[in-house]
Amino acid sequence: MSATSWLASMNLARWIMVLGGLGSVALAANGWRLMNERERLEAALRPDGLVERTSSNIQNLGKLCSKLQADADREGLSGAQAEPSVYFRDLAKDDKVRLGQVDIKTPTSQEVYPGTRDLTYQLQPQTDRGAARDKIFNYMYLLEQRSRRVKVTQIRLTPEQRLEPGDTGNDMWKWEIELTSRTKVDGAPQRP
Amino acid sequence: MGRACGIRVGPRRYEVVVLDGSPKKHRIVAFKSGEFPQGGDDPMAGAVDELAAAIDELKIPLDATAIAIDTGLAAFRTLKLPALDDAKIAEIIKFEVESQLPQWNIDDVVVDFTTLERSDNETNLLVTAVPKSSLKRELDLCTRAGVEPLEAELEATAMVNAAIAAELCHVDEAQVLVHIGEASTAVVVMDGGKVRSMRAIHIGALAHEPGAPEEGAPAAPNGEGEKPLAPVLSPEDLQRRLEQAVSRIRRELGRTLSGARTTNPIKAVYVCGWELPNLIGTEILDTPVYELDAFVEDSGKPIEGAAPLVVAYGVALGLLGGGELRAALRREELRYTGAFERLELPIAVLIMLLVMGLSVFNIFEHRRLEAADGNLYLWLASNKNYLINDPKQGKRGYLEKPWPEIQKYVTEAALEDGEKPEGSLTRGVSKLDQLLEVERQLKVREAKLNQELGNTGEVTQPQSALEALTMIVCTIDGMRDRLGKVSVRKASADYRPGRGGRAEEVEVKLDLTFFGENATVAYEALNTELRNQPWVTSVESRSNTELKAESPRPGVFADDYTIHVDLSKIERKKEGS
Repeated sequence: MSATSWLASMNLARWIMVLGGLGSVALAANGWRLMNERERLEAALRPDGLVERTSSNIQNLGKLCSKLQADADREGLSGAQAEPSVYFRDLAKDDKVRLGQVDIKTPTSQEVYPGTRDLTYQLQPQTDRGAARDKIFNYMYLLEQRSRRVKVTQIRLTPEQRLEPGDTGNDMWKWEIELTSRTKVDGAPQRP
Repeated sequence: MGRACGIRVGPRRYEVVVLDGSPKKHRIVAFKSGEFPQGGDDPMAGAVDELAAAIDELKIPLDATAIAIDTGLAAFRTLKLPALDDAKIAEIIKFEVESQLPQWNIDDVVVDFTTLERSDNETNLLVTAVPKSSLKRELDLCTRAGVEPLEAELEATAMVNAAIAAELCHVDEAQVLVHIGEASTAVVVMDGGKVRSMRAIHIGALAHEPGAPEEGAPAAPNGEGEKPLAPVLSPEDLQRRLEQAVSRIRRELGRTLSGARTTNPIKAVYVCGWELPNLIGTEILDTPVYELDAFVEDSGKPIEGAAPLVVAYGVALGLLGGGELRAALRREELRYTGAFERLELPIAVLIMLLVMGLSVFNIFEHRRLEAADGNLYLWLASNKNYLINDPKQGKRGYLEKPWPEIQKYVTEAALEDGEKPEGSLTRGVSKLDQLLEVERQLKVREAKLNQELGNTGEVTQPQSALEALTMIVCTIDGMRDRLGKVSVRKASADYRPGRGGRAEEVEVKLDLTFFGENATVAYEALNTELRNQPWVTSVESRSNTELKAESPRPGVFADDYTIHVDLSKIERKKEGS
């Protein structure tokens, strides 16, 4: 049957059937979509549903991001304006440390493992006087505890006084430590 | 008022008549007679093209078309049944007539009937049977030409309807109606305006031509199969054969006239179809022969050659509701089709109701969706207040230093749709997706910060010299009951990266002094204890030396006491446990 003869055979009832049928399919499909979307939304809005859980998560993430941002700002180990010396010196002034002024040598960088870079900082007191053992260890502890990117990789502890074997000194120590921060080199493969 | 089309499909010719009007008052708006092409590789295809061209030319109403086929294809029988209604007769007619049609399998024929007489006790029927294959051939021709006939009937019944409509069949007289076709002649005896009998004479207008079917022989297939080789005849022979054919038709009509048992006297013989010489205007057994002129004045009939159109006219008239015979050779075939057409309007109404119902459903769902979306707006506003709040009013949110993207997105997400600025990323996005997008951006930020802070575990930091030194000092402290007093005079710890197949480690060096009488034992105990620790890879123990005699207390000392520690071998408690 050609298109012309088909058109000629169409009457009002048949046109209603054809157009109404097509319209019904379109309306049914759209209605189905709306209904599914509405049901999804209503399910999400139920107590302990997706909306409530997402909102709770958003608020937790907001707090977490704030904390992480504060950590990153405090460390000063990343970004264009990275300045870790502030972090090191601030901790040296902590109430449980009080080691005074600290000398920080220019950091050295080396690729110990492929894909990573180690930045090494050497710290030592500005004075020749010794410091109490607990303050030195508190300092090293805080350096590692407040940043997950810093490790104490070298420690030199020598007594303030010259001691012979059998002598017990005043427990004041001259100290020198080395801190290492290992970072990923962008685009480099990971060490297995 | 309506339009209807009747087509007579004969073995060689066809006629098409289109009527416009009512059964009582109508006009012929189009008509055409034509001949199917003969010969060629595919005569059927030629016939289809010829008929299709006629259909296209006349613009016939495709939904109101019926056909009439050669009466010679049918067999006629009379049958007496108990008084039954037509529906019941239609159910049983095949079983009743089967014994009278031994030449055919009853399943291979279409059976139709016309009620001749009906009394309280019995019904007298004129039964017509047509092989389905013959009927299908004619229907296929029409279908391929682009028209699906609503109904099919015999030339004879169409002719009767035309004659009745033309008021030729009066109640007080009888007539013989004759249609001369190509291969057969239909003869109907009318008595008092009712059909009395019907028969087919297998002699037609083309019986004189070579290859034409002989009397009593079955009709030749229309355009199918092989045709016998026809001898070439001279014009004189053709004329002689034509005269013989007319003579035989007259003889058969004479037999009909003499054998007819009519209540009223037969007044005339009316002839239509092919025009043959020596027939119209003559008498047969003192009965005048006239042309069957079924058309009234101003009916649109052709000035000449109207006789061949009578059957097609009768078919179209039957579709308009005229005539008395309601032949239905497509009765079985169109049982369901007819049902569908009767259901067209109810179905259309149902579909309209369905469309309306679905429209209401869509509107309803749209509004419910908007309501649910409005509830989500409250959550977005709440999140904005929590994260950003209103810095211009001095109110800070919990998200310290919000970066521009999140600040813009969260602020715009908390606006009503109409208030969102042009180009806002929140435009055209569902509110639920906006909420999820805020969460996604925060997760991305968290991951980035964790990566910057080394919290992801992607990069393993070097082992801690502080931890290694602490572990050893704690071990010494834990053994103080066995070691006695121990003094550390110097300490160093160095991280050593793994190289050359050696794992990374921390090397701890201590200058130790063990005091007491059993200092050497204590020294050995420390050696043993350290070597037993899983995280100690080796202990380099040089020989210890006794303290000098002038020392206030006895004891031994060991300088550069070296312990190699691999902190990865420490069993650590998992976070949170």
